[in-house]
Amino acid sequence: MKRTRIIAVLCVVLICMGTGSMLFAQGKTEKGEAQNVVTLRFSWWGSDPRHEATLKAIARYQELYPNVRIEGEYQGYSGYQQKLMTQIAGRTEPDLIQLDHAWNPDLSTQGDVFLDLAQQKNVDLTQYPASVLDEFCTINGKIISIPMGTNGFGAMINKNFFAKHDIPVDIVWTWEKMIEIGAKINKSNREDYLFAIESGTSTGGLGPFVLGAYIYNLTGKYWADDATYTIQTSRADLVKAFTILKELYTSGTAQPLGDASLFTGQMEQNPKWLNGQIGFTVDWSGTIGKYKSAVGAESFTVGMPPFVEGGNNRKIASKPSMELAVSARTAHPDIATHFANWLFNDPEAVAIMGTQRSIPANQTAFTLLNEANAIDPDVALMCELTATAPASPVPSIQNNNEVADIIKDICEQVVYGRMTPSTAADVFLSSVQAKLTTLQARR
Amino acid sequence: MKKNMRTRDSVGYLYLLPWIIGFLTFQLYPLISSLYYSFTSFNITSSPRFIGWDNYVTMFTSDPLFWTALGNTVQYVMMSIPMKIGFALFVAMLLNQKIRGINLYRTLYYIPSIFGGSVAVSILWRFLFMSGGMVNRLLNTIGIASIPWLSSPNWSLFTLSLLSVWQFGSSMVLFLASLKQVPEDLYEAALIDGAGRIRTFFAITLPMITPVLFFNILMQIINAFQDFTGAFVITNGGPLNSTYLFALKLYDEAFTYFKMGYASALSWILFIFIIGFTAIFFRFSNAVTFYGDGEA
Repeated sequence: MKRTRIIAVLCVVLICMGTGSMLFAQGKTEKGEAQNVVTLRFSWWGSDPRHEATLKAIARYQELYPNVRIEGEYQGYSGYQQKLMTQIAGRTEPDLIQLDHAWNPDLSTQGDVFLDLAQQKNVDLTQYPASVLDEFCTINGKIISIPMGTNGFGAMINKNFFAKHDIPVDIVWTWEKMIEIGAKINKSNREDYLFAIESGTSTGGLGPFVLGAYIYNLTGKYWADDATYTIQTSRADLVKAFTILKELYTSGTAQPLGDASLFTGQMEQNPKWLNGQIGFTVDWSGTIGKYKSAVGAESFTVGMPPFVEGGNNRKIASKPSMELAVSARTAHPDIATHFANWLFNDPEAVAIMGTQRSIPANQTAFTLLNEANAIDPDVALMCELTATAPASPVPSIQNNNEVADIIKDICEQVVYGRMTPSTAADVFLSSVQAKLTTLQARR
Repeated sequence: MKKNMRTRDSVGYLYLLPWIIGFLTFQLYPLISSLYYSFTSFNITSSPRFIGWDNYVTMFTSDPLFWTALGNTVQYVMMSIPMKIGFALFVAMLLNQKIRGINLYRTLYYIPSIFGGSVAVSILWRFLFMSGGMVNRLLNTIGIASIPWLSSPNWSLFTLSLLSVWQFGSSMVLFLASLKQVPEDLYEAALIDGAGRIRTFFAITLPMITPVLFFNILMQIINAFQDFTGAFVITNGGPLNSTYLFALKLYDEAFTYFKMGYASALSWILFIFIIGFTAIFFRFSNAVTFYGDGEA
């Protein structure tokens, strides 16, 4: 028994030593590495073309600076914000972080999570438009990120479909014209749909890209007011918007919502898109790469998004495609900011990254790509079209996840015929306003 | 004597110590923390603020999606469990035969369970059951019109429950083991008495395997209430919230809306619900479970 107890004690001690030495070695390795090799973590979202370009750029930086190792943590957009917020709360966020400006309201409550880039000598902020830095990259009075690209918005067009149905690719759509032509197309071939869009998320789908865009073009104002947390669109305008939404589906213009929603955030993987049975969808210019690579460059082009017949304006949504921030808790702020600056100013880096994050917002990067004729022509075209009439920034409250989900539910009810446009407008006014009031109280 | 017993106990505790430390750190502490958070307003960006029973009151009185999620989950459990258990038992009976290559068949039938309900399998399910997917194409070839498996609120939950049936392997293995325990002389006696196969199944096989049947049903119920991957990857709760399962609601509240306090309250309600469901099941099963030692 005494021998058994000795063996038991030895086993426990060995387990503890093993665990402790593992933890100690981890720390020692990091400290040991810090003397020779610095490791940074860099997170971003995107699809394969963007991942490949970014990894190539990282590899080149590591060749130039062998004492720096950068670990890429990349994924799709879905779930990225959730993961990031959890990491920030747990103080385990990466050193370099790609952000969406729509998250600024949530991030602003986190305190000083990011470096104030205006105080960092390695980052040249003069290369970016001051208005963009001020409107999209500033939280709590500090410039916490640099814009990585300028996003235009418009139609992702499958040329084969347009050719098959004798539609010119430079047509300027209105929702009403879409329904008229889309109905004829679907009547002639039940498998073909002029348009496809998913139910969506807070930054894409029916809510922002159909309902929100329709109301903005119709009235000249967004439906929400950030300052007062109120709905500033009328019931009548909401009824019009929901009516158009319903007709998109009842006419056969849009692919059935249930089918399209299976590819939320991944419309380029929709078999109907791949097979040329969908004419176009709408999305940001930063996503052109994935749509184009799915159908092939020869089958792809871009165009303007749909407007409202007789609407107040034909302005097009515009925003930074995404932003790059540096964690205030990084152990190596100098190296992190050096890499961030290198990514958008070094000719090699700019050439590698190309327009995978849309047209660079950095003036140097833009000039380099432009001179080398390396700007993707479709990205350039979409950004040019957007620049002819850019819309003002979307109120951040419209991007709130809880608000967006309520709107998504209402839109689905209309599309599936469970709610009339008139009832939907009433429900929108009551339930969305109730949520806005709750959010305002929480501030 | 007493000293020897104390010594033996202390050795035992020493062996248990690593597990105990792990349990306290990674299970008990988070459990108690979540109970505390369920009484707070905690949005991950600031410290928890005690609000008493507010989360629970909100849940039952002013969150319609709570009832939607709960109703969907109960429906999902009611659909998937009988199909999964029934299919697992059927396959186990097929594999409980002495034929050549039976071991290979057993391996093949277990393979789907190894893949489980992972993201990759969920994506595969989406491609199989979407409108132009393989399942509809097969139906079309035999003259049946396409079914909106995933795009209709009337069909989507049923289609998701089929994904859980695909993971029948673990239940099947347990059934197979219990089938082998049924005494052969009972079958012989039944044969002599002129009982047919169906009568034999209901009179002998089923009663003799009720303990394993009870265990399988219980474990699958507990798992089914917590199912998440299929609903999240394939339909994201749609269409029309028809596949909005409770686990998905919990995820949304915690990680999309960052309402950790409310999400913690939801998780405790789910816990209580599962406990209640299994307690009722235990009570019911006492009357129908036969144990070979004569106890029921």
